[in-house]
Amino acid sequence: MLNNRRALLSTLLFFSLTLFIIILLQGCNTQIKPTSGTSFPMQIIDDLDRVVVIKEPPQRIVSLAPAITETIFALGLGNKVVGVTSYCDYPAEATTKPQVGGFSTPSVELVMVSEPDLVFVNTINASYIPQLENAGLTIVAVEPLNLTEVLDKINLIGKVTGATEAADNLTAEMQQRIDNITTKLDGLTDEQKPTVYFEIWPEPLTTGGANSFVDSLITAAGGKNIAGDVEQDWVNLSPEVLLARDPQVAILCHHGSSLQTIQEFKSRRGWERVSAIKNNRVGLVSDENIVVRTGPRVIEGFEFIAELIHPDLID
Amino acid sequence: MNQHNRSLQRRAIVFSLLVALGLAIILCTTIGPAGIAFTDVLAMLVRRIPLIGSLIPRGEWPANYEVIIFQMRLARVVLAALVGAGLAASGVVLQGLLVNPMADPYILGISQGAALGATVAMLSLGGTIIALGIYAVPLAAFLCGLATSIIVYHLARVGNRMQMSTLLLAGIAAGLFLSSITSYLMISSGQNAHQILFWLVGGFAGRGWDHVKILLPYIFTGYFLMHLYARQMNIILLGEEPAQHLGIDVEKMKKVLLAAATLTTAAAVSVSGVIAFVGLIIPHAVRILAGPDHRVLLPASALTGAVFLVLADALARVVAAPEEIPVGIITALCGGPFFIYLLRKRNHPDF
Repeated sequence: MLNNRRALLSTLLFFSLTLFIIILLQGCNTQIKPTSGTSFPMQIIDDLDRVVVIKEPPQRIVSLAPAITETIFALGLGNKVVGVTSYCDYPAEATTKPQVGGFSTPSVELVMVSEPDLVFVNTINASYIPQLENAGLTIVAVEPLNLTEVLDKINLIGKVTGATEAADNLTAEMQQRIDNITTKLDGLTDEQKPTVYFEIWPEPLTTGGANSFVDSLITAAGGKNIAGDVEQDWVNLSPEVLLARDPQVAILCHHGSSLQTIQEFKSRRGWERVSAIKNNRVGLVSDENIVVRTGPRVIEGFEFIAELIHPDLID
Repeated sequence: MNQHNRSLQRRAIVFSLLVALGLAIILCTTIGPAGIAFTDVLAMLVRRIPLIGSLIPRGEWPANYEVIIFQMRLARVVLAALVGAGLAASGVVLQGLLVNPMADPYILGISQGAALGATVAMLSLGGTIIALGIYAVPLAAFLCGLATSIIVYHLARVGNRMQMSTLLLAGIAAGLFLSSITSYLMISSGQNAHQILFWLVGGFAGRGWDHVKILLPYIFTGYFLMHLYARQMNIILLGEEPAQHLGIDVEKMKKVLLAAATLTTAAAVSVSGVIAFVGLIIPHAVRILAGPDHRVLLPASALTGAVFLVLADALARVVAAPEEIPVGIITALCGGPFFIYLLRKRNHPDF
């Protein structure tokens, strides 16, 4: 039972009020233009296909990804880092830096407070980029998807931070270590490449699929990933499939709170016939971060995996 | 108490809640991980008031502090207030229409539909999120939430009438189905599961004025429509037939109210994820404190929901700094015990 005139008036009042507030809010998101520097600006395309202009070598760097933090320190820029995540635990110096966020949840306020002139993010932080950009920060997204890209991205980070020389040295050293191994694996036929099972998580059995980083490590190390036909990042493998595909080499990796041991792995019920266990070719990656974190330390992971897969060719 | 006094009392309650909301907004704008001094924040806020503001001198805070306060914190606080108001008001409406105390805005499958839309957007668009700006995920969530509710409504329609009992069941069924698809997508998303999980639990991290601009028209329109029927909602509690006999166009009312609640909820979920608890418990809490008259229940619930979510979001920002706890966890943790307390107080006045 609406009183018609009252309803009409209140409707008009309501709409004009809403309109007024919306108009008022238009002023609230003014884009702040970054201040221009005097050196030549650099334009790059980052891993989210964004065009980013970097005006001058950054002096205050925030890294929102542990892998990128490691790279930045490895390039000798540790003194310029003003913000890291609570997961950035390597090198030890990184733990002394102010923490501005968690694994995939940066605190935009704390990032702002550290007054960075360059912020590195992972693609997982994509949703925070618009707000940080509106606040006037320069963001570069870096995410290598395979071993070759790790070196490319190290070069990219070196380029945008003005540390090209350090980056070149680092990637040259890494490339040499890679070449050391790949030359020994030259000419391997398909049958000579053992099938490899890389266990990221025991319950449920999780391994890397074709789109995962570990897959690229295994393939580059002369192995065949038993889940390499699955076009996914991580794959929840069924134990039946694992037994059916019978991997010849098994690599375990502690991830988060999982605490597999080689002993436990070998004693799994029904797994006695698995080639890897029968022939005692099970390895445990001591620190997951050398295979999961796509930073400079992946070389160690790569070497470890290669030695496990081809112990006869690599000493 | 005669009519006049009751009407005065209603206005008093709503007015004091409005004041409480204003205070909560100001208070929570001073709270955050960035450690900006309380007095500085107040000074910054007052300086923005047109005439009085110029009287306050500018303190020695760095310029980016103002960006933090006005672009990040204040936007978040306002967004939390809007979402809280929208969810609580929708909760009131759905509890009234379905005559079911366990009803909440998500019961019609809106949240599960929106969750699915958001998950698909977060997984497949990836870099396109930047191209479409921050609108990709909210848009997908909103459209899928709306689509779900439209399907559910059609399932519940019998001829020209909307059957409420069927609506409830259809909503639950649709919700279960959609959430299972979302779960599957989450499982097969590998490392992205983290991002999806945080969105699902609900939170305001990284939200700014753009989100407020998206949300504002929906919350205001939705609430306005709901309030138009506040008086009739009192009568429909007697039953649909008696209400029809008393002269209320029940079918039209159901359609308008459901549309309003759906729009409000879908919009709220699309910007902030699925924040549980607010739509279910706030109406009950306010009913215990202010009575079941919808003319006061509706605005009071909306305002209380706003205050509650603003406070919960402030807590979410600081309790585990530098990490941010999704606000949905805080609302569930704090709200449950508080509601138990209210229940006991009602049943045992001397508790």
